[in-house]
Amino acid sequence: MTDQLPEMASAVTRTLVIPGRRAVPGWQRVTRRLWQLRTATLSAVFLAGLVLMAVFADFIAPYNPYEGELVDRLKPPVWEQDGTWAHVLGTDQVGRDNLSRLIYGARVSLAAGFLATVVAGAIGVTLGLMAGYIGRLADTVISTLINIQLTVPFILLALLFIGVVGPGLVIAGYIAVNVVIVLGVASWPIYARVIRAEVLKLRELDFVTAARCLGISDARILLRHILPNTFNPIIVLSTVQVARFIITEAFLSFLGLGTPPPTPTWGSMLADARQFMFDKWWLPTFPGLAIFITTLAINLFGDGLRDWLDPYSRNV
Amino acid sequence: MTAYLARQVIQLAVAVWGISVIVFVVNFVIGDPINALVPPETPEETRQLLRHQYGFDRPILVQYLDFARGAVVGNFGESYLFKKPALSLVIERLPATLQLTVAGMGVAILIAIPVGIISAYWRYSLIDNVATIIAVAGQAMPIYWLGLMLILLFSVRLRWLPASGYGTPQHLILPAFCLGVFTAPVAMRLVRSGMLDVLSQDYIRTARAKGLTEWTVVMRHALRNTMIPVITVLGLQFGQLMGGAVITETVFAWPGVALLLINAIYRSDIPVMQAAVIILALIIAGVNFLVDVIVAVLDPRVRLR
Repeated sequence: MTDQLPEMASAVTRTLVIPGRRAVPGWQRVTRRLWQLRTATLSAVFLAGLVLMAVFADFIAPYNPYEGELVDRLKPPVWEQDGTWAHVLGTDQVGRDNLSRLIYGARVSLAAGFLATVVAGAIGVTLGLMAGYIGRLADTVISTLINIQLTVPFILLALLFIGVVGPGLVIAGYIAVNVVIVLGVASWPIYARVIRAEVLKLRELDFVTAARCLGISDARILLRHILPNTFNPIIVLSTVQVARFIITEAFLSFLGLGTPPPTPTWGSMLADARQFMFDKWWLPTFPGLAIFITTLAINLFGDGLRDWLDPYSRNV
Repeated sequence: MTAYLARQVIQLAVAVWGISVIVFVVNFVIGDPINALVPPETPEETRQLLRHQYGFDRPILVQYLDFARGAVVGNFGESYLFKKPALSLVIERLPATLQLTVAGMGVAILIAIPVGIISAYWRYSLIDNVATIIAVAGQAMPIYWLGLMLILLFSVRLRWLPASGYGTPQHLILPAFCLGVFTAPVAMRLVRSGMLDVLSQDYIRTARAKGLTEWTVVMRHALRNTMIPVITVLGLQFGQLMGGAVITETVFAWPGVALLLINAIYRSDIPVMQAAVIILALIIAGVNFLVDVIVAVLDPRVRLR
């Protein structure tokens, strides 16, 4: 929170230029805005492509990611000596096609990142709303819980939890239920803290007082009047979280604690690559690059989204 | 001040106690501690017998009080694996972890402060833009992959530095750099935005009007006021740094607490898991507390909050 203070100060000092309103058609304003946020737009296009690739992996991947020919093991990528077009990015230690495993690996990363965000958001938003709106005992208890969990780094809790419960049931071949729950449970306080602060601010505003004067029930005020006003911070926070969860899921897989083999995951590909990295640089390079580019695109998209939703940056 | 300090101490105590409860609940309520002691194919009767022998069949509250009584005096029980007190195993590994953390923080500061100042001073210049791009990329970088890439470049290709291990200063360079690069983007953005804020203040104009050189204005007048919030935030982010250290240790086989913890997790060595997490939490909470106190001493307004 504190690190935003200087930025907020500069946002206040920034002169608010209200341009002369010309009659610009709606779609033109949108395209102009998309052009201003072109990095984010490009990232969004990339991410959409990535999701499509993950969904249609069965049709895109050149090989079955679970099966390989041992005679083809540890083939280099096509541009290295002995590389062939048959395996563009080479093969792993049991002869499975690296490109196909990368394509299927996107499923694990994207699903874990997205679902863990849903879990963390569901717990965090509910508790944050309660702490902020009910106050008193509920606030004390929930705030204490938040403080306790934020004392230790998220990764430490995630490791501890997953170490005890294990990766658990794997749905559809790529969603490890416990990994998703553990990531969510280890990081709900981030949501709760942000939402609580928002609610504390919102509940003092006139429209809430007005709603109360009209005799609207607390539950209805909370769900219909306050919750929709917290959507912007929830969305912006969620993009950051998806990226964090993707990185962490891959780390758990890297340690052999995440989605169990033979499911292809970017993290387990990195782990497999470790013993061969001394003469085969491409093995650890590409899975990591996949994680890096994906999280970078999500972060850039999130930055753009924040600018889009932030009225201060909407002039010009 | 006394009231403020008392409140902070209580908060610290509650936080560490809460962590110990989480660790206990995870291991004894959600997990089954007997799994740590016997192979998976053990018949149920043997398990029951051992459960009784170890006291795992007692009411959970009794077991908790037992655990808490020990934990307060630093007795977390014996490691299942090493047959040594869990706490002493953790303490043995602590210097390596602290070394890495401090070195990583040092690297982060050495990168962040100069780059942050330059970026703010020549705002929107080429240097600023490049620094911002690198910072954005750095924040998306999985630290374990960065570590592997550093090993690939400096150990495998150039053969300058050892890929893993512990003992000499050469061993520290890659892990510390890795952790530093992980922490630097946040610190750099803080320095930059703080500096931008300060540079537009009246007293900076006054300093320039006095005819001071730009160097003195920036380094003496502006930087000092920038550093207070930067140090606060970095101090409070010590937990993040520890999290980064946990990951870094696994990549470079750095024999710190995190490596011990992860091996304990693999082997379900519950006493070591408990001791490691609680000691790390204690250190992080302690550092946060120190930062709070220092800030309160420097800035009286904080105490009233």
